[in-house]
Amino acid sequence: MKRTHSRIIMGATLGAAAIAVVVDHTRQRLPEPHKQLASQEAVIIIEEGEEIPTPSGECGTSASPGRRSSPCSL
Amino acid sequence: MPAAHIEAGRHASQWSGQVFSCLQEFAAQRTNAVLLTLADVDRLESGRRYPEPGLGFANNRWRTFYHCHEADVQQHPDEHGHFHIFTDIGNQTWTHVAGLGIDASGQPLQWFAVNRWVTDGPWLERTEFLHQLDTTSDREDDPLTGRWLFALLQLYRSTLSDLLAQRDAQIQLHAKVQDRAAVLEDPALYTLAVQPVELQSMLENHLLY
Repeated sequence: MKRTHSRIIMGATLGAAAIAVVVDHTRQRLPEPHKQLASQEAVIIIEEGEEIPTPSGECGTSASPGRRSSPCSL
Repeated sequence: MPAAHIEAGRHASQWSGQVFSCLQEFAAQRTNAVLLTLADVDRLESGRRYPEPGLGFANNRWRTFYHCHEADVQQHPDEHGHFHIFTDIGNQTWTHVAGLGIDASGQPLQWFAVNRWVTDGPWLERTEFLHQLDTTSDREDDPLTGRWLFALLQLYRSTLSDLLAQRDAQIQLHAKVQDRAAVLEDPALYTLAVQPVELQSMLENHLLY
Protein backbone atom coordinates (compact mmCIF):
# COMPACT_ATOMS: atom_id res chain seq x y z
CA MET A 1 0.00 0.00 0.00
CA LYS A 2 2.80 2.33 0.99
CA ARG A 3 4.61 1.49 -2.22
CA THR A 4 1.51 2.24 -4.35
CA HIS A 5 1.10 5.59 -2.60
CA SER A 6 4.71 6.54 -3.42
CA ARG A 7 4.17 5.71 -7.05
CA ILE A 8 1.15 7.98 -7.23
CA ILE A 9 3.07 10.85 -5.68
CA MET A 10 6.01 10.23 -8.01
CA GLY A 11 3.62 10.20 -10.98
CA ALA A 12 2.04 13.47 -9.90
CA THR A 13 5.45 15.10 -9.41
CA LEU A 14 6.61 14.08 -12.87
CA GLY A 15 3.33 15.31 -14.35
CA ALA A 16 3.65 18.71 -12.72
CA ALA A 17 7.21 19.00 -14.01
CA ALA A 18 6.07 18.15 -17.53
CA ILE A 19 3.38 20.83 -17.40
CA ALA A 20 5.90 23.37 -16.10
CA VAL A 21 8.38 22.57 -18.90
CA VAL A 22 5.73 22.88 -21.61
CA VAL A 23 4.44 26.18 -20.21
CA ASP A 24 7.99 27.43 -19.86
CA HIS A 25 8.71 26.74 -23.54
CA THR A 26 5.78 28.98 -24.47
CA ARG A 27 7.27 31.88 -22.50
CA GLN A 28 8.68 33.83 -25.39
CA ARG A 29 9.37 37.55 -25.35
CA LEU A 30 6.81 39.57 -27.30
CA PRO A 31 7.89 42.50 -29.49
CA GLU A 32 7.67 45.98 -28.03
CA PRO A 33 4.74 47.91 -29.46
CA HIS A 34 5.48 51.16 -31.26
CA LYS A 35 3.28 54.17 -31.33
CA GLN A 36 1.00 54.11 -34.35
CA LEU A 37 2.41 56.13 -37.23
CA ALA A 38 0.58 59.42 -37.62
CA SER A 39 -0.03 58.69 -41.30
CA GLN A 40 -1.91 55.52 -40.38
CA GLU A 41 -4.13 57.02 -37.73
CA ALA A 42 -7.75 57.53 -38.60
CA VAL A 43 -8.69 60.99 -39.77
CA ILE A 44 -11.40 62.35 -37.53
CA ILE A 45 -13.22 65.46 -38.65
CA ILE A 46 -14.25 67.59 -35.72
CA GLU A 47 -17.20 69.86 -36.22
CA GLU A 48 -17.41 73.21 -34.54
CA GLY A 49 -18.25 72.88 -30.88
CA GLU A 50 -17.66 69.13 -30.84
CA GLU A 51 -15.38 67.57 -28.22
CA ILE A 52 -11.90 66.51 -29.43
CA PRO A 53 -11.40 62.74 -28.96
CA THR A 54 -8.50 61.79 -26.67
CA PRO A 55 -5.57 59.73 -28.05
CA SER A 56 -6.43 56.95 -25.60
CA GLY A 57 -9.61 56.37 -27.59
CA GLU A 58 -7.74 53.49 -29.29
CA CYS A 59 -9.14 50.94 -26.89
CA GLY A 60 -7.64 52.67 -23.89
CA THR A 61 -9.25 52.91 -20.48
CA SER A 62 -11.06 56.09 -21.35
CA ALA A 63 -12.39 57.67 -24.49
CA SER A 64 -14.36 60.58 -25.65
CA PRO A 65 -18.02 59.77 -26.18
CA GLY A 66 -17.78 61.59 -29.51
CA ARG A 67 -16.95 60.04 -32.88
CA ARG A 68 -14.93 57.08 -31.56
CA SER A 69 -17.71 55.75 -29.46
CA SER A 70 -16.69 52.05 -29.60
CA PRO A 71 -12.90 51.89 -29.73
CA CYS A 72 -12.65 48.11 -29.33
CA SER A 73 -15.47 46.95 -31.59
CA LEU A 74 -14.86 44.11 -34.01
CA MET B 1 -21.05 13.95 -4.88
CA PRO B 2 -23.71 15.82 -6.91
CA ALA B 3 -23.93 14.89 -10.61
CA ALA B 4 -23.44 18.54 -11.68
CA HIS B 5 -20.18 18.69 -9.74
CA ILE B 6 -18.94 15.49 -11.36
CA GLU B 7 -19.89 16.81 -14.80
CA ALA B 8 -18.08 20.11 -14.13
CA GLY B 9 -14.95 18.17 -13.12
CA ARG B 10 -15.14 16.02 -16.24
CA HIS B 11 -15.60 19.12 -18.42
CA ALA B 12 -12.60 20.85 -16.80
CA SER B 13 -10.39 17.78 -17.24
CA GLN B 14 -11.35 17.42 -20.88
CA TRP B 15 -10.63 21.07 -21.71
CA SER B 16 -7.47 21.12 -19.60
CA GLY B 17 -6.27 18.33 -21.87
CA GLN B 18 -7.15 20.43 -24.93
CA VAL B 19 -5.35 23.49 -23.57
CA PHE B 20 -2.31 21.39 -22.72
CA SER B 21 -2.30 19.87 -26.18
CA CYS B 22 -2.27 23.38 -27.71
CA LEU B 23 0.53 24.40 -25.34
CA GLN B 24 2.56 21.39 -26.48
CA GLU B 25 2.17 22.56 -30.08
CA PHE B 26 3.24 26.08 -29.11
CA ALA B 27 6.14 24.68 -27.08
CA ALA B 28 7.38 22.53 -29.97
CA GLN B 29 7.66 25.72 -32.05
CA ARG B 30 8.96 27.82 -29.11
CA THR B 31 6.09 30.21 -29.61
CA ASN B 32 2.77 31.28 -28.08
CA ALA B 33 -0.64 32.57 -29.21
CA VAL B 34 0.46 36.19 -29.53
CA LEU B 35 3.67 35.49 -31.43
CA LEU B 36 1.74 33.29 -33.85
CA THR B 37 -0.86 36.03 -34.32
CA LEU B 38 1.91 38.55 -35.00
CA ALA B 39 3.94 36.19 -37.20
CA ASP B 40 3.63 38.34 -40.33
CA VAL B 41 3.80 41.69 -38.57
CA ASP B 42 6.99 43.72 -39.16
CA ARG B 43 6.16 46.58 -36.84
CA LEU B 44 3.78 46.10 -33.92
CA GLU B 45 1.78 49.27 -33.36
CA SER B 46 -0.34 50.13 -30.36
CA GLY B 47 -4.01 50.61 -31.10
CA ARG B 48 -4.03 48.39 -34.21
CA ARG B 49 -5.96 45.13 -34.39
CA TYR B 50 -4.11 41.90 -35.27
CA PRO B 51 -5.28 40.43 -37.52
CA GLU B 52 -7.25 43.40 -38.81
CA PRO B 53 -10.52 41.63 -39.75
CA GLY B 54 -10.24 39.35 -36.71
CA LEU B 55 -9.36 35.68 -36.45
CA GLY B 56 -12.33 33.30 -36.75
CA PHE B 57 -12.49 29.97 -34.92
CA ALA B 58 -14.92 27.27 -33.76
CA ASN B 59 -16.96 27.15 -36.96
CA ASN B 60 -16.47 30.87 -37.34
CA ARG B 61 -18.93 31.51 -34.54
CA TRP B 62 -16.16 33.06 -32.46
CA ARG B 63 -13.73 35.77 -33.42
CA THR B 64 -10.80 37.52 -31.82
CA PHE B 65 -8.20 40.17 -32.39
CA TYR B 66 -5.11 41.09 -30.40
CA HIS B 67 -3.89 44.56 -29.71
CA CYS B 68 -1.84 46.56 -27.29
CA HIS B 69 -1.68 50.18 -26.40
CA GLU B 70 0.21 52.85 -24.51
CA ALA B 71 1.54 51.90 -21.06
CA ASP B 72 -0.70 54.41 -19.29
CA VAL B 73 -3.89 52.75 -20.50
CA GLN B 74 -3.11 49.07 -19.83
CA GLN B 75 -5.63 46.90 -18.04
CA HIS B 76 -2.95 45.34 -15.80
CA PRO B 77 0.54 46.63 -14.81
CA ASP B 78 2.21 43.59 -16.42
CA GLU B 79 0.04 43.56 -19.50
CA HIS B 80 1.58 43.63 -22.98
CA GLY B 81 -1.79 43.58 -24.74
CA HIS B 82 -5.01 41.62 -24.88
CA PHE B 83 -7.26 39.48 -27.02
CA HIS B 84 -10.82 40.72 -27.42
CA ILE B 85 -13.14 37.77 -27.93
CA PHE B 86 -16.51 38.00 -29.66
CA THR B 87 -19.22 35.47 -30.50
CA ASP B 88 -21.84 35.46 -33.25
CA ILE B 89 -25.26 35.18 -31.64
CA GLY B 90 -27.00 34.87 -35.01
CA ASN B 91 -26.94 36.46 -38.45
CA GLN B 92 -23.44 37.80 -37.97
CA THR B 93 -24.44 39.75 -34.91
CA TRP B 94 -21.22 39.87 -32.96
CA THR B 95 -21.19 40.45 -29.25
CA HIS B 96 -18.20 40.90 -26.97
CA VAL B 97 -17.56 38.07 -24.51
CA ALA B 98 -14.41 39.09 -22.64
CA GLY B 99 -10.89 40.37 -22.95
CA LEU B 100 -7.88 38.20 -22.11
CA GLY B 101 -4.86 40.16 -20.86
CA ILE B 102 -1.43 38.80 -21.85
CA ASP B 103 1.95 39.54 -20.27
CA ALA B 104 5.20 40.34 -22.07
CA SER B 105 6.13 36.65 -22.35
CA GLY B 106 2.83 35.69 -23.97
CA GLN B 107 1.16 34.21 -20.88
CA PRO B 108 -2.48 34.89 -19.95
CA LEU B 109 -2.88 37.22 -16.97
CA GLN B 110 -6.56 37.89 -16.49
CA TRP B 111 -10.01 37.93 -18.01
CA PHE B 112 -11.84 41.23 -18.04
CA ALA B 113 -15.26 42.53 -19.01
CA VAL B 114 -15.83 46.01 -20.40
CA ASN B 115 -18.79 48.31 -20.73
CA ARG B 116 -21.04 48.06 -23.80
CA TRP B 117 -19.88 51.29 -25.48
CA VAL B 118 -16.26 50.01 -25.58
CA THR B 119 -16.94 47.13 -27.94
CA ASP B 120 -20.37 47.97 -29.39
CA GLY B 121 -22.87 45.25 -30.34
CA PRO B 122 -25.64 43.78 -28.22
CA TRP B 123 -25.15 43.06 -24.54
CA LEU B 124 -24.22 39.41 -23.98
CA GLU B 125 -26.31 37.85 -21.26
CA ARG B 126 -24.62 35.23 -19.09
CA THR B 127 -27.07 32.51 -20.11
CA GLU B 128 -26.49 33.32 -23.78
CA PHE B 129 -22.73 32.98 -23.26
CA LEU B 130 -23.18 29.51 -21.73
CA HIS B 131 -25.51 28.56 -24.57
CA GLN B 132 -22.91 29.67 -27.11
CA LEU B 133 -20.28 27.50 -25.44
CA ASP B 134 -22.61 24.53 -25.28
CA THR B 135 -23.63 24.75 -28.92
CA THR B 136 -20.24 25.28 -30.57
CA SER B 137 -17.38 22.92 -30.99
CA ASP B 138 -13.81 23.51 -32.06
CA ARG B 139 -12.41 22.24 -35.33
CA GLU B 140 -9.12 20.51 -35.93
CA ASP B 141 -8.41 22.78 -38.89
CA ASP B 142 -8.88 25.94 -36.82
CA PRO B 143 -5.74 28.02 -36.36
CA LEU B 144 -3.81 27.00 -33.27
CA THR B 145 -4.47 30.35 -31.57
CA GLY B 146 -8.20 29.84 -32.14
CA ARG B 147 -8.12 26.31 -30.73
CA TRP B 148 -6.18 27.53 -27.69
CA LEU B 149 -8.64 30.37 -27.07
CA PHE B 150 -11.67 28.12 -27.48
CA ALA B 151 -10.21 25.56 -25.07
CA LEU B 152 -9.52 28.37 -22.57
CA LEU B 153 -13.08 29.66 -22.93
CA GLN B 154 -14.38 26.16 -22.18
CA LEU B 155 -11.93 25.55 -19.34
CA TYR B 156 -12.76 28.89 -17.72
CA ARG B 157 -16.49 28.51 -18.34
CA SER B 158 -17.49 29.01 -14.70
CA THR B 159 -14.91 31.79 -14.16
CA LEU B 160 -16.26 33.64 -17.19
CA SER B 161 -19.80 33.10 -16.01
CA ASP B 162 -18.76 34.70 -12.69
CA LEU B 163 -17.04 37.51 -14.60
CA LEU B 164 -20.24 38.35 -16.47
CA ALA B 165 -22.24 38.17 -13.23
CA GLN B 166 -19.73 40.55 -11.60
CA ARG B 167 -20.03 42.84 -14.65
CA ASP B 168 -23.83 42.84 -14.42
CA ALA B 169 -23.68 43.59 -10.70
CA GLN B 170 -21.55 46.66 -11.46
CA ILE B 171 -24.06 47.84 -14.07
CA GLN B 172 -26.90 47.27 -11.61
CA LEU B 173 -25.06 49.25 -8.94
CA HIS B 174 -24.58 52.25 -11.22
CA ALA B 175 -28.14 51.91 -12.51
CA LYS B 176 -29.37 52.92 -9.09
CA VAL B 177 -28.26 56.49 -9.75
CA GLN B 178 -28.76 56.76 -13.51
CA ASP B 179 -30.72 55.08 -16.27
CA ARG B 180 -29.35 51.61 -17.24
CA ALA B 181 -29.09 52.60 -20.91
CA ALA B 182 -27.01 55.61 -19.89
CA VAL B 183 -24.78 53.43 -17.69
CA LEU B 184 -24.00 51.16 -20.65
CA GLU B 185 -22.85 54.21 -22.63
CA ASP B 186 -21.08 56.00 -19.77
CA PRO B 187 -17.49 56.75 -20.93
CA ALA B 188 -16.36 56.96 -17.31
CA LEU B 189 -17.12 53.25 -16.90
CA TYR B 190 -14.68 51.13 -18.86
CA THR B 191 -13.56 47.90 -17.14
CA LEU B 192 -16.40 46.42 -15.10
CA ALA B 193 -14.99 43.11 -13.88
CA VAL B 194 -11.73 41.17 -13.69
CA GLN B 195 -10.88 37.53 -12.98
CA PRO B 196 -7.26 36.38 -12.61
CA VAL B 197 -5.87 33.51 -14.69
CA GLU B 198 -3.46 31.01 -13.10
CA LEU B 199 -3.21 28.64 -16.02
CA GLN B 200 -0.41 26.38 -14.79
CA SER B 201 -2.19 25.75 -11.48
CA MET B 202 -5.45 25.19 -13.30
CA LEU B 203 -3.84 22.53 -15.50
CA GLU B 204 -2.18 20.85 -12.53
CA ASN B 205 -5.49 20.75 -10.66
CA HIS B 206 -7.37 19.12 -13.49
CA LEU B 207 -4.75 16.96 -15.16
CA LEU B 208 -2.89 15.53 -12.19
CA TYR B 209 -5.48 14.85 -9.49
